[in-house]
Amino acid sequence: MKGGNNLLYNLRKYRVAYAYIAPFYILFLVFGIFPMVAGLFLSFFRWDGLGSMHFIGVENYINLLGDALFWKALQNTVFIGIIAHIPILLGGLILAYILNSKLVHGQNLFKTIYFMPMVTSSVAITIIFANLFGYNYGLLNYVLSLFGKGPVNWLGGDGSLIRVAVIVMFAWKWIGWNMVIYLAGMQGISNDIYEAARIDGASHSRIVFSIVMPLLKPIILFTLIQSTIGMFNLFTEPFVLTGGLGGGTNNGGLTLMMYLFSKAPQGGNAYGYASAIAYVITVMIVIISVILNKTMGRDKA
Amino acid sequence: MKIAKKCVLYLILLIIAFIMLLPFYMMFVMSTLSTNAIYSFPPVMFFGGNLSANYGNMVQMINLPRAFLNSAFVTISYTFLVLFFCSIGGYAFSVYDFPGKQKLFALLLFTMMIPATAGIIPWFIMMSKFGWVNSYAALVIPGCANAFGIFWMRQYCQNNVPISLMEAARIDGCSEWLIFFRVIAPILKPAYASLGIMQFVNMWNEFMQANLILRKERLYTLPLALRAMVSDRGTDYGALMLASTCAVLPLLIVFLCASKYFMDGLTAGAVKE
Amino acid sequence: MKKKLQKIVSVLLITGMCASMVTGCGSKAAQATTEEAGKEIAAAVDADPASIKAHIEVGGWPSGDDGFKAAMEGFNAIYPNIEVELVFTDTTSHHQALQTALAAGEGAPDVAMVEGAYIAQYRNSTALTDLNLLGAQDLKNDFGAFKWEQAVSDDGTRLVAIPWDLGPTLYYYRTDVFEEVGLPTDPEEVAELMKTWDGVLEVAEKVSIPGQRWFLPSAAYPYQWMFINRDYYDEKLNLVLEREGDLECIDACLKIRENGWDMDIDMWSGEAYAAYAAGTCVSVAAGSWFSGFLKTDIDPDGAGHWGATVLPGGMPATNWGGSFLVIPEQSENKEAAWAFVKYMLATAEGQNAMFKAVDYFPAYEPAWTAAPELYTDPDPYFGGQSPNAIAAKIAAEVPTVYNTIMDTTAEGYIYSSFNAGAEAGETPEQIRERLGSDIEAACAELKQQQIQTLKDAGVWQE
Repeated sequence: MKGGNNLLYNLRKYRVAYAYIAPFYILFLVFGIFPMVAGLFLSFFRWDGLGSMHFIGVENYINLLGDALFWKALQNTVFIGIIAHIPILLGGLILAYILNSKLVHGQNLFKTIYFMPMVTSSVAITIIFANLFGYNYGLLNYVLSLFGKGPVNWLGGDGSLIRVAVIVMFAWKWIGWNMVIYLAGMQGISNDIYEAARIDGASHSRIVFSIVMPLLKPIILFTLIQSTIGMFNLFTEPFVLTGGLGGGTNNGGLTLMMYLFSKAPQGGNAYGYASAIAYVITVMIVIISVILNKTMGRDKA
Repeated sequence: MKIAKKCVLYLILLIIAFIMLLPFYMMFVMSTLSTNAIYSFPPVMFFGGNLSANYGNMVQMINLPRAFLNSAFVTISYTFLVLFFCSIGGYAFSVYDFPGKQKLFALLLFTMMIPATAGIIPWFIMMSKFGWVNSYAALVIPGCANAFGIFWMRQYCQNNVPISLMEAARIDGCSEWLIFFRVIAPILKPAYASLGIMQFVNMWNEFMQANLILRKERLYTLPLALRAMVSDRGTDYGALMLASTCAVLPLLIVFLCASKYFMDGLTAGAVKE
Repeated sequence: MKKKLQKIVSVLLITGMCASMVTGCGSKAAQATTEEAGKEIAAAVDADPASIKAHIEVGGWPSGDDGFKAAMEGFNAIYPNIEVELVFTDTTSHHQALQTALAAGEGAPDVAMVEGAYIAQYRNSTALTDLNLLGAQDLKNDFGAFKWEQAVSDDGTRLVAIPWDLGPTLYYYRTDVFEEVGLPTDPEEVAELMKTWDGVLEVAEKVSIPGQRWFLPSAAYPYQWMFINRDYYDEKLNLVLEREGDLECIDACLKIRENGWDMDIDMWSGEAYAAYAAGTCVSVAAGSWFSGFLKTDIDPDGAGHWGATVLPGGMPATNWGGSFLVIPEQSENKEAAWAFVKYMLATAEGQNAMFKAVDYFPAYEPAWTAAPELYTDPDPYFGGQSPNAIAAKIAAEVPTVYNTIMDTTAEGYIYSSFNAGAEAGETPEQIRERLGSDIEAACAELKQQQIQTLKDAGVWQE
């Protein structure tokens, strides 16, 4: 802070900046804080939404720790999240690299097709996937029968294959989105870098892992955090595929978000418990984000 | 050798493209089949002759044009507001320095991490207090300056907004406001396209809040109308798929028309300083 | 200076928000109907129907709306100045929206349908009008006791809902397939043949062609039929899964699964529905409302090839679901709402008009005698059989049971626990044990909530 002129200039500048970011914070103050605080408040109560509320301290959180289904849901969610993100992240990156380089013709067509799953209605598409994975009439089992294999009960059986179906569907939807984000990131990398690497005789896989990935670190970090949030919010796909909030046989497709919903407001009416689950999910997302941030370095593009 | 490698590459790309397109193809096919044909073995993979019957059933069950207009109204107004508020917000976080910037931004990121379902009851209480039950405002207003959008625009601005250009405009005597609209906004077009498509799709498919807020049939958006076709008593899947096709097709057409521009924008390369 | 101001403003804003929440929750209690107000409403509805002028919203799921539409003319003949708007969506969405609106204290319809499986959640709710105050206790003897009791609060004082329909559990079977494989098709003969599990297995074997035609959607269902009164817990909230003959039942279920006589899918899935219509899934059991499902939606062209009889395996008479109507306390048109509920559910005219339209078997017993032909006449869809006559007999035998908020969750586990057990090669005892631990795990928190609710009602003894 130096002379008066400078200060005046800064103030004017600040005013503009504050004005530009104000809409978010105003809306957050009006619409965001109250549900957030009230949700936290509720998590210390037992309330069925219909009768009186009872303060029970941290009992909801303690019960949650001993809740086998909660752990099962967490395990499923993390399993599905991690496996599904191998094709989503790695596949997205490789596709982006191929389509960004001049290796093939018709890049725009491929990009458009790969992105199409984002542009769809989730109700319709889950019904179609349930159909593809159907036991008696499913397309997948038909294809298997052509190879002389018996029908596989994807969505039933002992429940272990439900996760496969969920992963396929989840990856199908998100791979194109990540590809587009990586493409957006790759525009910042000068073509000269690739050229130089090629002249030095570097293979494509080497370029992807040694040059592109480090340069895209902030973008990859962003997609990782987004994917983490997406993973914990996984609901529609397993819900429609298993046809209920229990997640099918042996709770094979039960995710955390489904478990939350099964407590309130869709299955039961344990609002306090559901709020506690929501806050545990929030804390997990925050922790993972912080760890990601720490290990991958701070985002200073 | 090189040609063989190329062929393999094309083959892989084509297989992935096939997987991506198959569900869409199945949706179109199913919209021309009767429910019994949809559930038959071996599965019917080609267009059938039940389109007009499905259409008849669909028209009887829901008012699709009405739902379509409702969805279009909600989605377009929402997307427009999001693009406006988020681009100025992201731009401000990217190019200006101001006291409290780091803290404010951290708060913004934090809000992204809270699952919306956590506060659904308090949220609904608020909406009723505002008198927004059965009003589209409940869907459009609260999220129209959202954290994700601001983050997305900030990211893009950081990579693509040349400070030199702003300085030049300032020297020319442009106000900050004019700089944004005349100089910056055109640069942000690709980010507008990508964020716009994403937010458009999200709102086009929004179900949970709409289900709580929009109780009257004439207010139904497309997802609610589609949902109304699903019944414990037996769902006419052919008609449902036809309605889904009608709901998705315009989205796809808009996307396909805009995609050249959208994809071009993404790959045109950074604005060189 | 500026920063301080900001802080003050934000603190003020947040306090404002929290205050609004408190009033949001508090306003519910303020609206509770008093005894006098109740009497006034009751008097107005009975004495001067034309004087009630209102526009009411009625919420529910299909095809309740078709039922109401069928009875609306009669309703408006008595109450010409009540305008009814039907707000209908699918079952799950409806209950979720109703639940949210009741919790929020605002936004609920004036009259709402509640499905039998959910009624236990609402039984003690003060967010719903006590219909006894409106004179509902006078109607008690006109309704089946087991259904009426489900809507009475645990302390026995309040009544939150009026029963609409019953769901006497019937076993539906494809007569054309039975005939084709040389089995009897007459309901009594089928019942006699399938009275034992050996008989059931004999039928299953005859009608099934592995990979093409199946006896049931899932082998888990006969086991689920044992619990379809939803009497999983006793009044001390102990889970009670033992039933007479349950192990024999599970044993038969396992045999059906081993032989590939079931489709191994959910009975409510699109796949199953298509199979009912195509005759590739030969039988299924459900409440008698399923007759309407078959006629209008699942198999509209199926007249003459369906039959219905009592549950096989010697199972007792049970009731599967059936809905109720409630009036939220927040309604500002309680007179019109009560007039609507009373006409639709507690007059023979209203109930029978709806019964004719959508096959919701009236819980209001005078309706049965007012138009006996509806209940005994041969039904052309069922090839001249009369499923309603069988349903009426079953309805008379259904016992009163104790329902809890855990019931729907518990019910969901029979299907998946059986499948898991069958997949793991377990014995019937092990499957029953597995079901018990699965339900206990899934219902732990709900049970705490149920205990709290009972404590609030003053009827819980530790």
